Amino acid sequence: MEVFLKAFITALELILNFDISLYEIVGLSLQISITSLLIASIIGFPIGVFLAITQFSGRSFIISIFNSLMGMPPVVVGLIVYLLVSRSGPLGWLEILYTPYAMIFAQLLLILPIIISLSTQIFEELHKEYKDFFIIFSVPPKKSIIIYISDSKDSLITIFLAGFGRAVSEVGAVIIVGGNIDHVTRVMTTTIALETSKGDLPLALALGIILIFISLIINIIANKLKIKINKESSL
Amino acid sequence: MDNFITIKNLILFSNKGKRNLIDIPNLQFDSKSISVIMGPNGAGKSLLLNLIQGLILPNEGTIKVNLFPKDENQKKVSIMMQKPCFLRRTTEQNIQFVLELNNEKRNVSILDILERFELITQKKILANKLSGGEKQRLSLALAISTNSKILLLDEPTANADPLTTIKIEKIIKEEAIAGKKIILVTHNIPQAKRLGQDIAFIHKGKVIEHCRKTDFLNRSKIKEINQFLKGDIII
Repeated sequence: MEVFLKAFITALELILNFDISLYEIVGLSLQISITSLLIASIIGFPIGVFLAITQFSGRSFIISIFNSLMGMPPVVVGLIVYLLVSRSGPLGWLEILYTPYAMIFAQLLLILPIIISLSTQIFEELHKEYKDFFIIFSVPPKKSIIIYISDSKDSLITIFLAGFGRAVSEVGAVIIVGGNIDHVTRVMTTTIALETSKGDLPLALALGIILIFISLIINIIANKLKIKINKESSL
Repeated sequence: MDNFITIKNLILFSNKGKRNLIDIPNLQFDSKSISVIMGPNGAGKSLLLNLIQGLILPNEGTIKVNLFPKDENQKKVSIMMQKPCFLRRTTEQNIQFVLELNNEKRNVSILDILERFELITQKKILANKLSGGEKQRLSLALAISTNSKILLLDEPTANADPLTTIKIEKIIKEEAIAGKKIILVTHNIPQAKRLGQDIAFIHKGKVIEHCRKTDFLNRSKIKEINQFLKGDIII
């Protein structure tokens, strides 16, 4: 109990003293997670719509692959990205290993299957409702993608949260491709892992508390947004 | 008759392919009148409308619409379905969407449409939460908002009270006078008498009679039609 209390006090001290290195770590964590989430959403939602509304041979197989990839171990993703972006790898020319870009890339690969799989299910449901409407009124395909996404806003927020949760809490992949370099690629989860291994449990726990706090705030904001959307659409 | 809509050798198989759901060797509709399609439940009336609209593709045969040169830029067909489908949006937003989609340049405002279909007080209500009669009025409003040359109406007053029925029939007549071709599916014999100029009778997927209303109602020699007009059960 004493450890938790000490950790909580340490966390409060770090926050209230505006500890620069703490804010740097938190800032980088959010920057990487949000960037990868946005890229994954931009790529994933249209793919989700496409898989939901089109019929082609191999569609079920592709959906099964994305479903399976949702549970892919982060260390495996980290290893794959490492092999891709290391100097001898096919993307070595990008020179992004041990940079935040490599971390974004790894998180993108982790989140993308979640965004695609979960959104496909949501869009499939909507497609049952909208299919005839779109044929009757000759809605162009590009417009229909926008409508599918905009008319499932509230459900997509949940997917967004699931993706964010996966990204911000992930340690295995980012530690491999980021290298946990101080002031460069050190994020909350890798710092927690490092401080724990050094035996500095209060600091590790303090960061853990901050991480939970951030997740909580983002969830509250997302839920408020969801309630607002639901209220607007049920007037 | 100007053979505005020409249906030739139209065949639609059932999923199991054991019987023809629709089997129409030859059927024509002219461009001006309100044509009524009647027949017992399961005869294929709605299927025929869906085939004309293009919601279902036939296994064999063709449906040709001969638009006049002046109407060639106009949308050909619009349907009001028995079970209306809408976007998960408000009444007003559904109308706005269809108007914008059709790049509607006529001097029609959303307010005019809401007033004409008596949906002003429901304009902020989600379309899917409207009552049965209101949904039908909205569905008709959307079909008319496309400014299509042909309006297919599948039991447009099935859930409507007598007053709403009169209002819907008035709008149907106005659209016909404005130059639209209307094909109306109804079980309601008095309604067919009030609105139709020609009546096609479908039984087991085949058109067994297509003639002027007066001939149909007074002088038909076909057993099934006489049974239908008398209110007997047709097997």
